[in-house]
Amino acid sequence: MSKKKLVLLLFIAGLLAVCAYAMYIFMIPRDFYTEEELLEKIPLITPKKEIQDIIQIDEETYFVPFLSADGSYGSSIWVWNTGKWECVGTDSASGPSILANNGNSYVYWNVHPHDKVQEWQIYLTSERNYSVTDANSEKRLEVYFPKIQVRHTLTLGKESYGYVELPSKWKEIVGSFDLNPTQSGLLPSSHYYMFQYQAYNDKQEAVDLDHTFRNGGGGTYTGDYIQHMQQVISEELE
Amino acid sequence: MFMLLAWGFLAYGVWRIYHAQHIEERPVLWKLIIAVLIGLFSFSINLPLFEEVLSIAILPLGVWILYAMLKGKNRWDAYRKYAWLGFLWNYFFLGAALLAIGVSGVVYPKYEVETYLDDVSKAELLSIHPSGKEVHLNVMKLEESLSSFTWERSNVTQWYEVIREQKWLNEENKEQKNVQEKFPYLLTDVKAKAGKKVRVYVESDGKGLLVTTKEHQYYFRSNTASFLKGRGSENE
Repeated sequence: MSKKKLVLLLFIAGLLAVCAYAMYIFMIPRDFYTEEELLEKIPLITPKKEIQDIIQIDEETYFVPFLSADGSYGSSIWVWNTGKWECVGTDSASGPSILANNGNSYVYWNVHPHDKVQEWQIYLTSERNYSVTDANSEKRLEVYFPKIQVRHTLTLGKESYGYVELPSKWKEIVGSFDLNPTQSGLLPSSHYYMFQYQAYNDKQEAVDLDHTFRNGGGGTYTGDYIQHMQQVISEELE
Repeated sequence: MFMLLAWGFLAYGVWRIYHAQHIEERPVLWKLIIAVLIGLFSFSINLPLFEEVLSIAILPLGVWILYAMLKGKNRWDAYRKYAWLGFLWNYFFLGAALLAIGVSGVVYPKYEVETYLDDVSKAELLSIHPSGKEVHLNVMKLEESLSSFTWERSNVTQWYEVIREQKWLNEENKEQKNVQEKFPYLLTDVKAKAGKKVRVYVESDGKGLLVTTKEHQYYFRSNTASFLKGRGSENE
């Protein structure tokens, strides 16, 4: 083998090795942060007090419930994104939220224990609607969108926080949980739906999350991973 | 498939011109291909026709460019036919597109339920509204009854208003009655012809199908269908 060929071969082998290493770095999630690191990295201005737990939801998703110094119960969500763990959502206080990553979807929460939430009733809804376009031409197009309203009940555990995978029925209704859908025309995309909740205490009474939101609430979000849930407005239910 | 045909025509055209030329006049193959591709470049208008956008070439810009480039070198004559062939190619594509529309109209008739519910063997029924009862889907019966469904003009305004009136009445009478959604079920895992994406809602009485595609919505009714076990509603 000539020298030239050998050099070329070595070069290609080196290139492959670099590529493989880069793939490894980007694709295989590294160990997640420790509590100390998290306290520093959680992007909220309010002073953080304590990390309640570090929960691995799946290979590329972590849920970190934490306490702020003012007694608020917050949550932050981390996903593996091109070579590093990235915080895609942090709030100091909120109701339950929807998290979608890599085709999986979950609902997660962290609420103040004084709200005594025993049960969530979560709703997937979409308003009834219709449209008539080009009414007086041959291209007349009538479209009707039925009202969608399905309910699912979740029971809370001992902790103030938790997460549950969304029911498979919901996934079938919504179809793809791609929160950044391509042009879908008349077919509904995930933006077409609303996610709502109602909290119930151990006496089966509907409660508001007064203690959870005592100090207000707010957060920072990046990307299309998290969708907020609103409290259900009972007049809108059918 | 029709695009392949258009390509075939083009290759044949190139071959014909090539062989009609004198040996010494023949351009090198790769230059020839570039000439055809430049010839394809044209000023065209896009016309929405038959629910698709067809582009109709008008000005042979590519031909002019080639002419300007090759005039000085006295090679224009050798390339002229190729350039025009490239321009002509626009029309081959137009023809192929038109043909495809015509054929798909025959193979995938728009107003036939089977176009959208081609394979329902894996279909499942989901109740998507409180007024949808706990019913079971009988896939066998659905398959049998498909042929009884015919297209009907939908009346979406009326559907919507009827339900809104229900709500008003309930409010006036302070009743806590459930509102009856017209299409309280969703049929999932339905395979349509030509790999189209469809979403199929089922009417509360189990005798109507509302099929939504990306571009259109179709309503099909049957008088005899009964594929819901434990009948959806008493409204009929």
